[in-house]
Amino acid sequence: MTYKLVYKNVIKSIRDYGVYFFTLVLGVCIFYLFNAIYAQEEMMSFSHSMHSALRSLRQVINYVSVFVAVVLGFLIVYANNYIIKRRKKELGIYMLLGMDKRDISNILLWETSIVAVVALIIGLLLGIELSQFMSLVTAKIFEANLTRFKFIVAPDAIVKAVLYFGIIFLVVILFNVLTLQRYQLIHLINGSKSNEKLSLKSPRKALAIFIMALICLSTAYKLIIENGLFDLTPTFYTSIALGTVGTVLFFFSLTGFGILMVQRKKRYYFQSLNMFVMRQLNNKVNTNFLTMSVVCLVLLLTIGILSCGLSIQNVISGELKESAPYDVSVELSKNYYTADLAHEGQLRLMSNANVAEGNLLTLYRHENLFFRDLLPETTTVNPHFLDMPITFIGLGDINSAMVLQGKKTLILEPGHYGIIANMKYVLDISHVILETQESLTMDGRTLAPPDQVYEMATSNITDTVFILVEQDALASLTADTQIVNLNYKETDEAHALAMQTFFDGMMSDTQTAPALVMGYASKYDLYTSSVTGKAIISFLSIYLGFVFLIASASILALQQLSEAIDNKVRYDMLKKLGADRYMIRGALFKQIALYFLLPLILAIVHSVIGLYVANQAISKFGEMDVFYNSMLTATAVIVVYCIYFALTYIGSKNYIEQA
Amino acid sequence: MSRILSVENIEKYYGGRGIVTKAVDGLTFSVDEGEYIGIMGASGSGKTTLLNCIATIDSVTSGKIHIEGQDISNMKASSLSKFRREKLGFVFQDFNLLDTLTAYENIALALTILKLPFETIDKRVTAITTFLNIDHIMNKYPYELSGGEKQRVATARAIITNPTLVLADEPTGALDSKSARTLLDSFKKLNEKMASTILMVTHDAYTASHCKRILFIKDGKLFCELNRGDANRKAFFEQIMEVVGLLGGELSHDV
Repeated sequence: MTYKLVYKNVIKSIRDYGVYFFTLVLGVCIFYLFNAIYAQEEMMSFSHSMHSALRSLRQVINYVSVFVAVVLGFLIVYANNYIIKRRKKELGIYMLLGMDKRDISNILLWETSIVAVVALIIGLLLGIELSQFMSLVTAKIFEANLTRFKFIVAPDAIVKAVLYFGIIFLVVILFNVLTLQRYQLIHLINGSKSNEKLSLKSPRKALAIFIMALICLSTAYKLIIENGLFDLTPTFYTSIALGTVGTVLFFFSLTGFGILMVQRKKRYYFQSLNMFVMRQLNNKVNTNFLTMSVVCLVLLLTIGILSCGLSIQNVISGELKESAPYDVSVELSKNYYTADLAHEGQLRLMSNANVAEGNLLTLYRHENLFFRDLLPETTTVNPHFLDMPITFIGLGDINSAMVLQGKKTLILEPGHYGIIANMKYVLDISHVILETQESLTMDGRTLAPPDQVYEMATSNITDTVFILVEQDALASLTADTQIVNLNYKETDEAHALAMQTFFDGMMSDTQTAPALVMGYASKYDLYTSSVTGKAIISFLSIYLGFVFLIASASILALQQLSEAIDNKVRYDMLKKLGADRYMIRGALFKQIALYFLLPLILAIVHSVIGLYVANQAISKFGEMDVFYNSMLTATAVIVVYCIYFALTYIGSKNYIEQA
Repeated sequence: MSRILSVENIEKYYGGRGIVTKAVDGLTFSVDEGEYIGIMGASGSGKTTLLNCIATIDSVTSGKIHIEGQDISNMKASSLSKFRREKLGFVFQDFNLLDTLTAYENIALALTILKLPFETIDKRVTAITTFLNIDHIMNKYPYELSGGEKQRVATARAIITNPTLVLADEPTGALDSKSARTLLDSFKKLNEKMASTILMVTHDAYTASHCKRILFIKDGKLFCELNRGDANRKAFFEQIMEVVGLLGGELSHDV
């Protein structure tokens, strides 16, 4: 008998609580998907550095998965709690019929276990299926080639998913049993009686609070735009606090204020079921404004994490090619700064059998010349440049570097100076110098401003603005930095690592002579760290972004579904008053749609500001295509959100139309 | 006087597979315009089933129900909704007001469903609430109202559409005696001054004694019919009590 009851209840709950089941499956699926990334290694041709990148990624995902499991755990317990509430009366009837609490606990235990097992199996199957597609993404992010397509299963990830979700479901079962122990029969039997109390506010108060919310939000926006995203100043925290308070107040007062506005348009308010929908919404938001605020902020987090994560990844990819023009750039120690010693040092470095070619780049400074001589005093772009001494580079040096890079040599018109910059970060200020068109007086010679900025990397190390002059103009100056750029004969991993050992040896070699090498930046190192960073950022952003998205959408969905009970009485009333099926469905649709849309709209407004500020911050390091990634993010968010909306609407509709 | 409602030999069966409950078993009667008719019977006599069938909420197993000449026993769901909102008004025992709407909005709801313009709605709500003396509570929510006030708001909602027939299901069931009296006065006023046709189901003899005619139902069949004629309410009440006694004394006896 118990078996039959459990079986029927499971079927019923999967049908009635589709959202709950969908969330479980999605949770398991995503959990598996990310924990199984390591297994895709088999499908790709990976270098040694990629292995270490993948290892770091796996480690980070391990840590984050604990956090994700906690988030999903809370979500599942929360969802389960709603379902138990909705089933109060049913449980009460079991008790009334003389089942003791132990039997009912058993029924709940079996039900939860069966639902859990089914969700785990479907989630894992879906995860395994999707991880085949995921390998395409992985290959792209790691810039690896897919060598062989192989059906992969990650047993570790399966075990982990089963373990983590097993613990979550144990907590759920424990929670159910405890909840059941607490309940009195009378409460269970009366479980479905809805509470008529309304938290009403005077419209005037709602209006005042709404205006306060708008002031909070606009101040928060203004502060964050002024402050920027990465300066963790008190202004930054004030902005975040105001934004949060503003969001809560906004939802607290929104519908009260909204009703006030709509009521003024009496023709609209008193049209068909509009009045009913507005009041439904008001009733809900009054009691659920906290949920809506949380959902709105979590959605903001989702949008932010997804679009920024993907965009930073692109920035890193693009920068890499620009910032490492040589296989290695070696900076010499100060002891070697005379021209002769530096040349000798260069020869020593090039004596390595694997070095194909190289050049010496000398950077100079003049004790009396600063960038303020070329910039307007009032510049707001990187004002700290004003006090920096100008870094000079000679035409001869740069052209030998150009030859090494396989690029065209530069031309300097006689009596002019030139401007060279590479990173986005310094390009802006170099253009300010160009626009200022200030002449440069240097040791009695006056150099006219150029008509263009050369955008190029001079070495793997430097990232400032260089002023280009004829080589002989620098003869009287002392060198500020000496850099030897080298290209290898063999660039594969083994040789690259051997070269690094060679340079490391020279750095620590203080016994025989002052060490020749002060530091170096190899293409290999830059590349490895960039790929690792990029992979971790992208995977984590997708992982966390989706978990947060599921969390927020399912909270909304479950709340709406559980309120279908209160709503049923009201919709039944409308039916008796003669509202036909289409009117009722329309009202229900509007109600749920608004409930889903309101947090989303505010979250989008928040994120437009947020992404604008993020763009400002990140673009210092390179152009970020936020728009493209935002569209991608938006599509993903909207698809998942719409599925939840559809499940909620269908579930509520079925419940309300039940006889 | 035109015929508003005619019920012809209707039957309503529940169950199947051999065990059949006849909730309504061959009832025939009719109601003319301007009548104030009561239906009495013990619990389980079939009076609520009968009301639900007339209210188009439930359907009959056999027989025909005509309201204003229209046969409602085989109408489609969509035309039934239309019929309900245009021709019928309801008053329920537990008021069935929407807790989210103010009294004014609850009354207006019946008209917004009819998609009338706001100017008409406002005019009609004001007229009916003045008539029923509830215009001072229009901005209150149901939980701020007493049971009697709630029921008068529900009454206003039932008649604001000028329905052909007002159906009341135990309207005094949840009211104290003073509120019940005020409500019944309102019904009387509606019937006499606005010529509303009212069909009321009750098992309370005092409430029933306000009607002009009473049908007694027992086990789904018509047991007998009482006409008030020129008798005053007190005398009519005595007559009702006699029938109740005949029925088996299952009905309540409070006056």
